[in-house]
Amino acid sequence: MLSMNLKKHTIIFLFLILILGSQAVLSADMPKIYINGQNSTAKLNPVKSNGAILVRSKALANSIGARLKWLGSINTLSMTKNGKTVKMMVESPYIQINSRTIRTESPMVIKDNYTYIPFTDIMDVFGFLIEYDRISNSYYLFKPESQLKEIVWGPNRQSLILKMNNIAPYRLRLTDDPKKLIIEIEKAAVAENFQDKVSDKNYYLKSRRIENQATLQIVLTSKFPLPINSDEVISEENGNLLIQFMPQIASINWQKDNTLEIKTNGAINKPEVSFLEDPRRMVLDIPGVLLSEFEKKLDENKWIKDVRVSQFQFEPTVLRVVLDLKEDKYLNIVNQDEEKIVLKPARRARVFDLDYKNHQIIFKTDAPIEPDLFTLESPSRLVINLFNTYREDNMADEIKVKENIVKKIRVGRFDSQIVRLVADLSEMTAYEHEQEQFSKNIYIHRISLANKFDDIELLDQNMYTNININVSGKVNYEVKKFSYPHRLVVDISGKEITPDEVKLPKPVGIIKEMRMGRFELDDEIVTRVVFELSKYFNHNIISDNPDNKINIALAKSEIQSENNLIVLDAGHGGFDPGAVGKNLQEKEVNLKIVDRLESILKSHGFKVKLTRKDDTFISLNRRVKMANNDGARLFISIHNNSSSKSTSEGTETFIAPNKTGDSLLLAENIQKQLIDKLGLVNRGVKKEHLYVIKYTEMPAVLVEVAFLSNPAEEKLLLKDSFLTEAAVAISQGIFDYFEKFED
Amino acid sequence: MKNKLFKLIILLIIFVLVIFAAYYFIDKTNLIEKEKTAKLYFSTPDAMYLAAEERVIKGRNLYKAALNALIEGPTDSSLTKTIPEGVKVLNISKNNDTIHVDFSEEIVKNHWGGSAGERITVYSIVHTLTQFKDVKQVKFLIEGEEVETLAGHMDLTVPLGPNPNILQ
Repeated sequence: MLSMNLKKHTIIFLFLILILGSQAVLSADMPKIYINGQNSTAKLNPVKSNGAILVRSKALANSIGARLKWLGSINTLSMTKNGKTVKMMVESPYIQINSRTIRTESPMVIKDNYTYIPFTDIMDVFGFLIEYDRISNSYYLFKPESQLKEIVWGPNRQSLILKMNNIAPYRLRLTDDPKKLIIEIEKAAVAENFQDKVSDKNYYLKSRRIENQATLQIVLTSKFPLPINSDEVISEENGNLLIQFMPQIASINWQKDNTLEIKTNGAINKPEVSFLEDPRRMVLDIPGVLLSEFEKKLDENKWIKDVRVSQFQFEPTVLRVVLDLKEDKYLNIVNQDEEKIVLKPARRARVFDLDYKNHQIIFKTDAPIEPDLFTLESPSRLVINLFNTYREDNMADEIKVKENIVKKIRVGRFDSQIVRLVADLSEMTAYEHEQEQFSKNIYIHRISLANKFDDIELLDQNMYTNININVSGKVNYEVKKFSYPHRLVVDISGKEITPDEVKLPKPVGIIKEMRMGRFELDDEIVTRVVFELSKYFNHNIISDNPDNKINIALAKSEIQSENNLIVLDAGHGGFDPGAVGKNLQEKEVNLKIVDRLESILKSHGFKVKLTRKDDTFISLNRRVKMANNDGARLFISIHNNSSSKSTSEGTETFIAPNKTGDSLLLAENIQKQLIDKLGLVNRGVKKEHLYVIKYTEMPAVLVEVAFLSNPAEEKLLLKDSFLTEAAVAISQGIFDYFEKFED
Repeated sequence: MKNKLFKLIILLIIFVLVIFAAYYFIDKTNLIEKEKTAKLYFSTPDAMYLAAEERVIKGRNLYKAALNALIEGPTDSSLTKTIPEGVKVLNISKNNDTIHVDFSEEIVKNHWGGSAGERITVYSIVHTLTQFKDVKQVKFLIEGEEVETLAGHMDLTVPLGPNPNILQ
């Protein structure tokens, strides 16, 4: 049974060889082979064997100037050039190169008394690059135009330098993995004596060739996320390729002169500083710096116990340095230059001469400080924290003020480090702090308090009439609705604020008339703004209370809802171009449609958020998170289609199989409008496991407007008018959905 | 005498059983060439549906043979290939009824893109492999790595089963 089967197989195998063999002779589709630009096909006489292309050994050796030797007794051919000897045996898949061996898919054969050898393998050994062009069925063999000699770190490991004898076309490919980076160089090869001075315990460098393309790939893998954040980091410099990294943290050292030095290996930006208690710590958020292995040296000192460093955030990148301070110790940034931040134990500043004059709280310090100001409600008060200060002994605990807006100013001690001034206010108000150096050791601080109307704006939109009342500081207000006739009343509390300061705008939309007045209500001074309405459905108060702007949306019809945030997702971006047509990349078209759709939706009173506003790569997972975190009402992903055949055409809309109800209704309305307005072939609404619509938690669709792979449709996508029409159709589909949804 | 014959018969039976067991084992472990008339799923020219083309495939690993035949493309000129140029199957492994297929990076790099284009690629592979009765779903890997997607649309983080709506 077994032997029978084997016999059968052997027969079939032999038969196949026979068929393949005869095919090789008959086959007319032999490739053309160019060596150093010369068509050498006739000389090389390519033949097919087991699906691979072999050429005549003699001709190949002649065209590259190699010596050939035939050892008939052992059926072995040897080929030598520049000290490299290649030996191969008839029908053997092993090729010996000096003292090492490689395996070939297509062993040497003898045909009509000539030896035929696998030229791609052999030419690779002799340092030739091989490029195969499918369309013309041609192989191009040539010497590399440039050699990669060395890869080294630039100064401070802030850049990577690729030393080449000649610059060839290059590009950088960012991968989904932030720890991996790929550099591609055309027509380049790694030099014989190539030196990798980059690989160590944190970095691993590897080069590889893309099959049938003369492209060299350099892959750098790192233990830490690679400090790169855009695709414009590769450049040419002094005949080398330079890859610029973002600065990384290099060291944190406590210096002999009792200062703390935070060093990076590149330009450093101003950190945001905050102080926290329990345990006492100083937090420095340094933008644009990445975490790396760094040197930490904290000698015994009186100021800090420890330093902790973390990558607080990516995109934008923020490095967080936390200094655990010892009891009642304090550090100040004294110096910040190109690559370092220096912190010094700070002298505590004396606070003195507190006063109140002309609507201003005034005090002095004997050193510059950065006060922290904020207001608190119920009761309204302004808090001024003065870090690392102490109050002068004879400074009063309290100043009574006869002014309307400020009742009194209290001087307290928040803790041993902070003098706290609290101004009790009769109402919420705006504030402004300025510091002026008066003499060598005297700095004057003035805090002005004032509230006034900036302006009132009315905005008439498709679904809403918007009211915006802008005030210079936070105010408390109340919005009331009265009927017969419909009117909306906004009562703004505040003695400082007066209606005389503001000019009323012209009524628009459902607002017929406006008036303003001031009166006393339960011992409070109130400014009342009255909006007479021609009709009323509903209103949303969008601003907070208190707030420095009062923003109210008046619905113009029954269609309205609490949440009207729509997330628009322009497909692809950055290094992922999406589908590529003859003249267009999908990522560009998607963004253009999304931009148009955004302005249409906004003008109809919707809130809109874009997953990307420019040409950047954003993973599918992040797109989903953006929509879910914001609790969007709808998610609309805009794409353009492609397939392997240029005849594919039309418009299709996708929903996820796990979310059919509302998503299906939305998809059907959008698809219908697109077909009506654009008139392309209707490919229908389809259910598919597409990532962004599957994992978003709200009704979601993915629209494929037209095919970039179809030349006629690509031409349409080049027209601005077509893109506008597509955006109009999609927006109309959304409006139709809401109309049906609300029914 | 009778006893001797009996012993001989027992020995013969054991011998035959061992051969069968060995054959069965060899057959299971991809050591010998197998063949099968398989359905290969290619795209209709509008990239809307998949249609099957029958072909005899041979190889030690029929899954790989089927994929390689799929990569070669259709012989029927009314159908369209579904896998981009230069793609290689790097590895195939099976975990219960889920088959893990590792493709070379050309499947991303040389892909034509588009939801339609990506669907036909993914489902031509899924349908071609799920015709084997021990395969229910397919997990895609590229260069040995798990991926979010192939061309920016399909969710490849989880294994995919067949989609009857895409068949013509």
